[in-house]
Amino acid sequence: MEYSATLIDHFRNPRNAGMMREPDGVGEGEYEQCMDLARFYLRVRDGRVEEARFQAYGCGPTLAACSAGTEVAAGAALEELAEIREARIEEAVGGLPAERRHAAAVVARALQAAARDAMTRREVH
Amino acid sequence: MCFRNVESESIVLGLDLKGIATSAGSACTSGSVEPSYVLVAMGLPLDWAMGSVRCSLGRSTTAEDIDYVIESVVPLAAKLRALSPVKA
Repeated sequence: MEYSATLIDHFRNPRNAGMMREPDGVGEGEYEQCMDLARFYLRVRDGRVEEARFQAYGCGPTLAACSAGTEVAAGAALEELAEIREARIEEAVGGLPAERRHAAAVVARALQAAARDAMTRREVH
Repeated sequence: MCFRNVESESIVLGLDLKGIATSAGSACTSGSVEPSYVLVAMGLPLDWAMGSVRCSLGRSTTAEDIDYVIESVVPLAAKLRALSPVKA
C-alpha cells in the first residue's frame, strides 16, 4: 500500500505522543470495525489549544494521523476544533488510501470530543 | 508472532520501513477486521490475535536475517506499545 512521505514521517517520528497531566480537555474516537482508538489531551489558554498530545492503538495511518492531528489542533480555537472535518486531518498526512480513510475519521472524532470536553469544563468553572 | 495490545498493521508497516516483508494476521480493509481465524480457533484472546504478524522463512533465509528481524521488531513493538492507551 502506498503512503505519502508525510504520513511515513509522522509514523516514524510521532509528534506529541504520550499522555498529559491535568489536561483541560480529553476526548476519544473509535473505529469499532478494526478497534482503532485515538485519545487526545488538550491544554487550553484563552480559548485556544496551547498544546495537544495523543495516545493511540491502531494501524500505521491512524498513528500518523494522530501525530498530525496534534499539530492541526495546536493554536486552534476550541469552537473551530469542535467542528474539525476528516478532510483536514487527511490533508495533514498528505492524503490517505481509500481503505485507510477511517484513520482521519477516528482522529477528527477524538479531537472534536476533546474540544467539546474542554468547552464543557470551561462553562463549569 | 503476536504482540499484545499492538495492532498488527502498525508492526507490518514499521518492519516494511526496515526492509522486512511480513503480513498481518488481520485485514483492516473497507471497515472490516479479521484476526487470524486459526489463532482465534486456537483460543488466543483477541488482544493477542489482533497483534499477530506472519513471517515466512525460506531456504535462503539466514541466521543473520532472523537476528535482524528480532533486533528490529522488539524496539518497534515497545515503541508502539508506549503510544497505546490500551495497557495490559
